[in-house]
Amino acid sequence: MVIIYIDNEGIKIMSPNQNYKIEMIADKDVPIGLFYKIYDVSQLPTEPKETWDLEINQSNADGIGLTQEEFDIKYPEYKGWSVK
Amino acid sequence: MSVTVNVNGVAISYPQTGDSEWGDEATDFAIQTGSAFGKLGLSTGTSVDITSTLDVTGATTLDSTLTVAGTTTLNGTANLNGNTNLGNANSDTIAVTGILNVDSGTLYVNPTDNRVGINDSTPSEALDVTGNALISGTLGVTGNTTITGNVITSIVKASGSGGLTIDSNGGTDVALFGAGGGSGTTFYGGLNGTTATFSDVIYADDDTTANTPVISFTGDTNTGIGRSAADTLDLITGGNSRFRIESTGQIKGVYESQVGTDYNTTLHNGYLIRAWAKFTGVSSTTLEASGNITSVTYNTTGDYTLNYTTNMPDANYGYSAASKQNGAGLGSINYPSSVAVGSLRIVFVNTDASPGARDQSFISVVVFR
Repeated sequence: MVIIYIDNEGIKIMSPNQNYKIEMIADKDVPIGLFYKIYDVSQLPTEPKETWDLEINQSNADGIGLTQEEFDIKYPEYKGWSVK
Repeated sequence: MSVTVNVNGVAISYPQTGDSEWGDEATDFAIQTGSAFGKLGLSTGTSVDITSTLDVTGATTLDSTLTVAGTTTLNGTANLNGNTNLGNANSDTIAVTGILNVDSGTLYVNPTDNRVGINDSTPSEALDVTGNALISGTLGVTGNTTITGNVITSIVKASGSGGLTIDSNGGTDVALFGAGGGSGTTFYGGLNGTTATFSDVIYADDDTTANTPVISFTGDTNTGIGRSAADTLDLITGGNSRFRIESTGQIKGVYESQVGTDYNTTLHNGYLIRAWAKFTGVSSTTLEASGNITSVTYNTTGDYTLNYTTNMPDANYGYSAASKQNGAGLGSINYPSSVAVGSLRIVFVNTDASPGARDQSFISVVVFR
């Protein structure tokens, strides 16, 4: 499973630490306010990501990058972890 | 032969002329001279003062008070029936020469070996007690103490906090607890041959002598844990501190390489690896193993971001990365695109005739601070 988000540089592919829930890592490491989607690696196109026709918005996103305050409230057990 | 006896201050000689049985010259005193009795009688309220030696050959029975001002010698067996009082003042001394045997061995004094037995008429020590002993006061032992019985079942303070309990703990080992299982037990000495479990804080000696452990091993006393100063912890081997945590948190260690003469005795600052990761990065990325890393982002070709679990204290840290270029079997050089407290972005470029960013099939990164 990977996390996909789009910033001003283009599509980014994030591989999570397998020891934690991928949603928690996406909330933490996706830049604040950016929507993300979670994909199985087998679902990804084989072409370079620069050629992908992908749009992630509020209607189809699996989540959004949280602020530190939002993250600490949502995940009190990981309070204080570094949020991007 | 005439005998003179003073009776109530009157000197009377016996026998007197005409006496056949009892003298009758005084009303308070009589001597039976006839038959085989030969008794001397006193009526109630009278007394006899003997100022010289009283020599009694036969058995003597005293039914009332006998007062003797001088020394009394009894050569035969003395049987004192009824209650017996010995001495009547604190300054009196009652001396017994020979064996003292009370109640057939309940108390037995052996003057030959200078031993006392309690319930033991053959004492083997200065004090030999057969049976239980209850001591309500302090028992002081200045010499060594040997216990040959199986177990001390308990030494318990009667009430209140503090004190010491020694419990058999199932009969297999010995445990020391504070009274009521509480804390604050001060333990002196050691437990040989058993595992000691302490349920609370253990305080070791305050010694701050450098290279001297205060927690060590019986067969290797110059190896252990000590402290060279206040708020400092040292790990000591062979009588030298090899690793130290200072009061500031700074760690120090010796060099492993055998260079110079003090390579393994001089401590130098050491610094920790704050994060590490192993990942692949061809068209995408897979984080395979890591420490203090929650994710790695594939930004674009040869461009990756490591996201820390816990921030670095600041952005003034160093890193080292090694990689293998995809498809080429070559390594690549890299440069930090962004160094932040929460992440590290690295770009890998090739070194051949067509320089540019290249995906890497193997990447290893360590971060120092």
